Amino acid sequence: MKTSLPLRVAKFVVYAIILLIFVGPFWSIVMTAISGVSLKPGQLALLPQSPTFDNFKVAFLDMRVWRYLLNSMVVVSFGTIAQVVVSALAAYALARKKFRGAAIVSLLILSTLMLPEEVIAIPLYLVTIKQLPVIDTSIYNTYFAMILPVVGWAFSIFMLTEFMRAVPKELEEAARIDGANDWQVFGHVILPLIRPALGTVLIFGFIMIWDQYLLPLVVINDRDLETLPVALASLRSDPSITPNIIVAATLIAMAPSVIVYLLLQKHFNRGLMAGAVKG
Amino acid sequence: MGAVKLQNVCKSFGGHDVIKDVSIDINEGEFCVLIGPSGSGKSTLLRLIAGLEEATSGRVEIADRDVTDLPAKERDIAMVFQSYALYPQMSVRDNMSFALRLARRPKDEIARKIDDVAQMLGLEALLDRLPKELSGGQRQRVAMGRAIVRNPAVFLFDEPLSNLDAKLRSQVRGDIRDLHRKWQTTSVYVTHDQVEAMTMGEKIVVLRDGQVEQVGTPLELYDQPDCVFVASFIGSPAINMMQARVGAGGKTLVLAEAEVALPMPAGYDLRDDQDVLLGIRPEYLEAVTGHVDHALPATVHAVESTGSDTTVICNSPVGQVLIASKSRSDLAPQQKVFLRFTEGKEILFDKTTERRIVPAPRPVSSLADVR
Repeated sequence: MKTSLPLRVAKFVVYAIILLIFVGPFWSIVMTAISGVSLKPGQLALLPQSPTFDNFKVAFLDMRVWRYLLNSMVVVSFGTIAQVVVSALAAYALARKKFRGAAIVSLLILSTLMLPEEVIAIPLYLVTIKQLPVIDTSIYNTYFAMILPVVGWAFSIFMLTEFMRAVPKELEEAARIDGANDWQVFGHVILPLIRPALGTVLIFGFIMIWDQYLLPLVVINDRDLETLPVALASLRSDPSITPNIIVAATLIAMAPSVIVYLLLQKHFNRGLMAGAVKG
Repeated sequence: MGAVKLQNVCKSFGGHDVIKDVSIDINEGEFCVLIGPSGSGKSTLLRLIAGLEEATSGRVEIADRDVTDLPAKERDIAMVFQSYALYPQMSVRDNMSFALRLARRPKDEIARKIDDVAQMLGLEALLDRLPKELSGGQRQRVAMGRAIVRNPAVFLFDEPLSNLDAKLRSQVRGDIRDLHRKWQTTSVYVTHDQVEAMTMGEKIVVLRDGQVEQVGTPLELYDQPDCVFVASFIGSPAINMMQARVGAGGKTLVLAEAEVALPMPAGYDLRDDQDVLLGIRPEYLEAVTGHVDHALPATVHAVESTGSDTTVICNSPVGQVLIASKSRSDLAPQQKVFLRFTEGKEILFDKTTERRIVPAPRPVSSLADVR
């Protein structure tokens, strides 16, 4: 059946509005970033005026975005890897091991999802400035202060727990009879079977850590250690920097997330679907 | 190779007793079948031998070694699971060599063993495939191969044929039997299928509610069941059970509802009016159309023929009665018949305890008479 002309026009208009709402802001960010004409704070360009890539250069070198990018990279790479390792091990214990208080442990982990980070910001600060035992120093103002708090994340622990529960028990028993110990069962049987889920928590973890704002703000007091979200906010409050440079810096900050998502997109969607079906 | 010994083994899950004081001796090289209805604890017992469950009390021995507290990997056993439990991400070759690789055996030894076993089971062409690319029967063989390459002291099978179709099942049944004949490795096999148990087992252990009901060879269980449960569980079509009372000073068995008195089988010395259960296997009943003495009157309800076997289902005053025969039947439904008992094939059980009443051995007056 052919749709009538007015209906098609109406559809077109609706789609155009939706497109405008979603793509519009991004478009103007890109246009502003490549505009050679300085804009006042609060202004954004809709069309490029004397296009140039100088803004990126200024942001990257003069505003030292490279340094913040590096900091973010360090935190996100170590943080994500540590997070996935810890989550996988915790999930294995929760999914497969019988131990006293397993339900309580599970509930405690779950409860951390219910606490907004604003609530734990001050306790977190107090912990990081304390001389910690064993290492006998405080981790305040170090990469560790930004990495350690994100290593345990209830979301990825629960996601992996559910996937591990779905791995048939007989496989683990077969491996044990074949002579495998806990680590070998984990490495040879469980991990290879939950690879899609690992990919998913990897991406979620990456984005979660990349977007951390409050945590670095609270535990870092050194411009050289600031991550991109914190640095961008302080750039914005500096009146001498034009919006062109700030949005150029923002684009640089967005790039890694977009690249990671695009690279692992297939994985990401499949992982989500699998989780949804298994419920 | 090694014997398996269970001594007073108990297992309970959260206060619920699943295995109750079970003691079984499985000799070296023996093929032992654990059989019982679902919930009888047969799989739990196998898992206790495997070390996948810990016994609540009692002792498990494999090859004269106390393994009660040893983990599965130190018990020198191999197990074939009902679901086969092949590692999905590994090729057939990797599945079969997994145990050897974990044990860090030399590469050339692993390759040689895999090739030998693959050849024996006809798996050479499948070695590089993944389990998902195999049919049910092929997966089953890979699971067997994985167990065989280990050359363990004991093989454990947990209903390995239940996922196969009937034709493949009888073929694999034969394969397992042949392998056992060749390797003579002690094997413990769990099944709920009594045909499998009868055709494969050298020794059968019948379990009910976590307890051993009877241990014996297939024919011992068939001919001399210890109790009504074993008599009814073993044999297809099932044994006929009817209530009877001893009469005429212990000389007859009276089937009261049918007003029939059967002569007392030889060897039984029972008092008058004792209530018993009379068991008779379907093949020891014969349907005749004319009146005969000491026969149970009945009406044919249905005739089922598989070609080689015929089962006639009759309704009688003592309940439904099955007759099995190798010959074709010309009986028709609603036909009146008399059921004749083959002499000496009756099995009597005490009505209250449901245990078999053991007849005295046939009298042999002297050795000279036998000669």
